Amino acid sequence: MQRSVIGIGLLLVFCLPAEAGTHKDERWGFKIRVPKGWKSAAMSASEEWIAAKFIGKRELQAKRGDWYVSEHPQIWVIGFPHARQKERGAKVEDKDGKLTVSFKNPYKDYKDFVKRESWFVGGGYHFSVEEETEIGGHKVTMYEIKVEKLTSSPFRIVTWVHHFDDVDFAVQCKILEDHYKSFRKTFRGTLRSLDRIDRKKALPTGATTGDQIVIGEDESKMTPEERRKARKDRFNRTLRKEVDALPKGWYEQRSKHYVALANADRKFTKRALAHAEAVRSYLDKTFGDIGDDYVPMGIMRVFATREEESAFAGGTRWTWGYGAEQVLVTQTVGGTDRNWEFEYLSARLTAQFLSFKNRHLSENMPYWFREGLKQHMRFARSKRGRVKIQPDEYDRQAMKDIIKEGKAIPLREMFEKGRAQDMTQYQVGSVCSFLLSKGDRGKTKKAVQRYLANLIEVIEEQEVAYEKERARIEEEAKKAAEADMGGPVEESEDEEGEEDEGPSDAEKQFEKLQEAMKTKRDAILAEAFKRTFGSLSDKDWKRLHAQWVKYAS
Amino acid sequence: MMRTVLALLLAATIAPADVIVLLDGRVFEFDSIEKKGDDYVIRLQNGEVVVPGATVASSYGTTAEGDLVPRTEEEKKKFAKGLRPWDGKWIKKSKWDRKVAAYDEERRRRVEQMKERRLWRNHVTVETKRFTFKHTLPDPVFEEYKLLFESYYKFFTKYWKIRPSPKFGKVTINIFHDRESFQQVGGAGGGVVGYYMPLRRDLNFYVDRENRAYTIDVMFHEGNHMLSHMIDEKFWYPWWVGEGMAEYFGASEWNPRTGEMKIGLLQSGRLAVLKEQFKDESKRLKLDTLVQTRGMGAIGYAWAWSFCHFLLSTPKYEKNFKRFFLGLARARGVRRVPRGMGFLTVEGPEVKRLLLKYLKVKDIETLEREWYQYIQDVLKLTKEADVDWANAGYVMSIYGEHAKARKFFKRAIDRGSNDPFVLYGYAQLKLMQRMPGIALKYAKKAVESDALHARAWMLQGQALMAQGDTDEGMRLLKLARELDPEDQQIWFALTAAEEAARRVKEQGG
Repeated sequence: MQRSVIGIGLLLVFCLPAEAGTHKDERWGFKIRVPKGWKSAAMSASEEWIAAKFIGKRELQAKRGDWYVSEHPQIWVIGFPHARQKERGAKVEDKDGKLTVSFKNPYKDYKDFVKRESWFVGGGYHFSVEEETEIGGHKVTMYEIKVEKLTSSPFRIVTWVHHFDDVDFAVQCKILEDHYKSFRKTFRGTLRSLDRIDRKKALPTGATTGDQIVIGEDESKMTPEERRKARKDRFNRTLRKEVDALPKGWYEQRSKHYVALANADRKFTKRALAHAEAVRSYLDKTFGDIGDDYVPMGIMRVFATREEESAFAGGTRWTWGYGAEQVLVTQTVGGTDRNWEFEYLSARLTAQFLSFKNRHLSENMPYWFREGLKQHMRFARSKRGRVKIQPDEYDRQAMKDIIKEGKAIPLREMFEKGRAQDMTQYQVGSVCSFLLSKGDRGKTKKAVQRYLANLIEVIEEQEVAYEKERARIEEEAKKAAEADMGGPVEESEDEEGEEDEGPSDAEKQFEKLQEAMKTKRDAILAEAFKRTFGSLSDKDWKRLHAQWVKYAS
Repeated sequence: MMRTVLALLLAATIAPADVIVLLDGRVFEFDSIEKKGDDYVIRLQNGEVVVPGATVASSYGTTAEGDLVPRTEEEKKKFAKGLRPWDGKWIKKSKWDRKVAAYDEERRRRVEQMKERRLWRNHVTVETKRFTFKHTLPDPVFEEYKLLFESYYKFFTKYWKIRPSPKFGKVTINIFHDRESFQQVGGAGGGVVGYYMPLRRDLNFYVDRENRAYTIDVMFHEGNHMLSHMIDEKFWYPWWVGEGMAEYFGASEWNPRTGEMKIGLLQSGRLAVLKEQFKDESKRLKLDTLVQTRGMGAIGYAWAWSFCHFLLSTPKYEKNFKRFFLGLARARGVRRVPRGMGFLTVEGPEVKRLLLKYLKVKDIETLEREWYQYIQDVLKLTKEADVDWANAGYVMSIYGEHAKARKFFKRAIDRGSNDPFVLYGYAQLKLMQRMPGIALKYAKKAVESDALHARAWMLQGQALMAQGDTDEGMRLLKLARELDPEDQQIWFALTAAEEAARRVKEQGG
C-alpha cells in the first residue's frame, strides 16, 4: 500500500483543489473555476497539450438530431507553451537500445489545434465569433465554433484563449447546441476565471504531435534476466507517471498481478481485479508452458463512466505500443461480470499475457487460433478465483444459426488452410472452446497444448527463413535508396503504360515484406496442422466435426 | 494583377495603373505595362511577365491623376478631341470619369465583400420562395446559381409532372467560395465535391473558379438528388438510379438569359472514362451487377450515367423508364424495405424485377446487349476530343485517381491541346508524382498559353523549390501572388514554401 500513499502525496502537491470549485494545476501554473458538480477527468500521463478536462454532471439529450444523441458537456484547458515552437522537426533518440523517432510539429495556436485535432469537433465547423479583449491585464481571444454539418447533432464550442508571456491557455467548452443557452452563464464564469499561479514544476516541454514510432526495445538481445529487469523497470516507470497524473477522486488498488487505477466504485474495482486474477490463473495453468519469459504486472484503468473513459482515450497522445498499454475497463450500470466490459478485459489480458510469455508465438499464431482463443477467453466468467468458460446466449444462438444455414466451415479446412475472411468469430471461438473442453479426449486429447508446442517449433524454424528474406529485402531497399540519393528521380511522361498509381520504393518494399510474411504464415499454418493433426483419417475428421456441431448446438 | 485592387484595399483611393485588356475579355491593371515590339511587358516587384501581343485586345497607360495615356496615333487623335475609350466605344472624358469612378467604387465594394466573405460567419442568407441560400460568393456569381436552382426546380417539376408537398419545407443550399471552406465548414472528406443531406434538407457544394463548367455539373448533380427527394420524402433511390440520373441531369446546359435547360447532353468526362473501360471487354460492367449494386466508386458513376442515358434516349424505353423512376418511390406493389433513418428503399432483386417489368423486357441479358450497343454506336466523344480527355482528367483527379487523371490529361495534350487548364492540370499531377522537371515544363507551357495564369506561375515556383532552387522558386511564388492577390491557394503555397525555406535555412541548407 506504500504506492498509494506516495500517489496521494503527489496529488496533494500538484492537483490540490484550493477551494470548492477551483481547480489548481501547479505543473502548468494555472487555476480555473469549475462548475459545481463537474468531474475532473483522468488523462494519460503522456498527454502534453491538454492540461485538464472536466465533464458535466448531467448527460444532455439533443433535441435536434438525426437519431438519439446524448452527451455530457465538457470543458478542456489546453496549454500552448511558446517555447515549444522552437522544437520543430524530426528527432531520433537512441537510449538504452530503445530507438524512438518523433516528428515534432507543435500546434501553432488554438486554431491550428482545432484544425489538426478535428476529431473532437465532430463535424463540419466554422468560427462564428473571433474577438479580442483584455481580462485582468492579459489579452484574451474569444472564439465560438459552430459545428453544424455532417454531425449527429449541432454543437457549440466556446473558447477563450488567455495569452501570457510564456504560454497561452485555451479554455474550451463544448456542448450540444440545443443546451447552449442554459449553460452560457456557467461557461462564461469558467472562461473568465482562468488565472496564473506559481508553477512547482517546469512547463511540459515535450512537443510531440502526430505519430510516434517506437521502433523497438530490442529484447531479443537481452538475457532472460535482463528482460525481466527491463520489464519490471518499465512497469514501475509507467505506473509512477500515471499515478503522478491522477486527478482528485482516483485511487490505486492492487492485487497479485495487477494494479488498478480507478475512480469507479471500490467494490467494482475489487471485482475487476479478482476477475483479472482468475483469468491470469487460468492462463498460467492452461498456457503456462508456452514460454519462460517474465510477465510483468499490468495496469488496469477502471472508470466510473463511459464519458471518463472516452475523455481518457481522446487525447493528443495515446500510444498502444507493445508492453506499454493499459487495459481500460468501465463500470457499467449495475455492473456484473457477465457484461461485455469483463469480456473485453479477459480478451485484453490474454493478449497481454501471450505477448509477454512468448512474443514470437503471439505474433505468429494462425488467425483461427488467435481469434478463437480471444473469443474463448471472452466467455470467461469468474467465481472464487476460478474461471468457467460460458458463452452468452447471443453467441450460442449465432453459432446455431450458422450451423443451421450450412455456413460452418469443416474443422479440417479451418485448421489446414483457413482464411480469415472465410471464418466467423463465432465459429473459431466455439471450436477453441470445444478443443479445450469436450473435444479434449481421444485423438484430440491435449490437442491445443500439442498444437501450441508444434507452433512454437514451426515458428522458430520459419522465423529463420523469414528473417533471412527480410534482411535481403531491406538490403535491396537500402541499396536502391543509396543509388537514389545520387541523382534526380527518373521522370517520365509515359502515362499509357500505367493503369494505376505505381507504388513508391517504400511501398514496394512494404509489399515484398508482406509477401514474405504471408509465405511464413502459410508455412506455419500448414506445418503446425501436419504435425498436430496429420494422423487423423477422413473418418476421424468427420467424427470430430460432428462432435463439435453437437457441442455448439 | 490589379494593383488598383490592392490600393483600394489598403487606402480606398484610386491610384494610377496601366490597363491591359485580353482578347478573352479579362481586364488587368498593373503598375507598369510597357509595349515592347508586338508584346506587352508587365513589370512587377518580383519580375516581368511578357504577354504576347496576339492575345491582347488593348492596353493603356495611366497618368498620376488616373487618366489614360494614348499609345497609338489614332488614340492620340481621339484623346486630343477629349474622348476616352470605354467598352469598345469612344466617350467624352467627363462621362468616362464618372464611369471609371463608378466602376472603381463597384470593384472596391466587390473586393471588400470578397475579403469579408472568406469567412463562413460572414455568409449571406438569401430567401426565395422555395430555397434558403447561404453563400460566400460575390453577389453577381451567386445570382447565376440562384437563377439556376430556380430554373432547375421549374424544369424538374414540369418534366416529372410532380408537385412537391408544401410540408417538404425549404431546402437550404450552401454554396462555398472554395474547396477548403467546403471541406472545413461542410465537413466533407477528400474526394467529395458536393453533397445533399435529405434528413436536414441541406445541400452543399463549392465554386471552383478554375473550372466553372464542372461546378455547374456538380450543382446539377446534387440538385437532382435534392429534387428527386421531393418526389417522395421518405424514399431513398437505389444507388444506380440516384447517381445515374443525377449524372444525366448533371450534364445539362442552361441558358441564363432564357432560363431554359437542355438535357441529355453527353457527360464528356464520364464518357471518356466509360470508353476507356468499355474497350476492354473484361472490364465491362454487367448490367445485372449494376442494377443490383449497393454502391460503386468513380467508375460506377460513368456506367450508371450511360445506362440512364440509354434508357432516356431510346424511344421504346423512355416513357416506361420514367414510369419506373417515379414508380420506385410511389407505385403500389413495390417491395420497399427500411434503409435506416426513416427512409425506405428498394433492394437489388426487386429493382431488377421492377426494371424488367416496367420496360417490358424478358431478360437482363437482352437489355445489356442493347445498352452495350448504344455505348458503342451512339455515345461518342465530341469533336473536341481534347476537352473530353481534359474533363475526364479533371474528374479523375478530384476522385484521387491520379494515374488515370495523368493519362487523360496527357492524351489531351498529345492530341494538340494547349489549353492552359489542361497543361496546368497535368503539371500539378506530375509535381505530386515527385517529377518536378516535367511539372516545370508543362507549367511553363501553361504560361505560354496564358501569360497571366497565376497558378501556373505558382506551380513553376513550387517545381523549382522541389528541384532545390529555393530563391527562384520563391520569386515565382511571390510573382504569382502579385498576379492574383485574391487567390487563397497561392497564399497557402507561398506560406508553405516560406516555412520550408525557413527549415532548410535552420538546418544549415
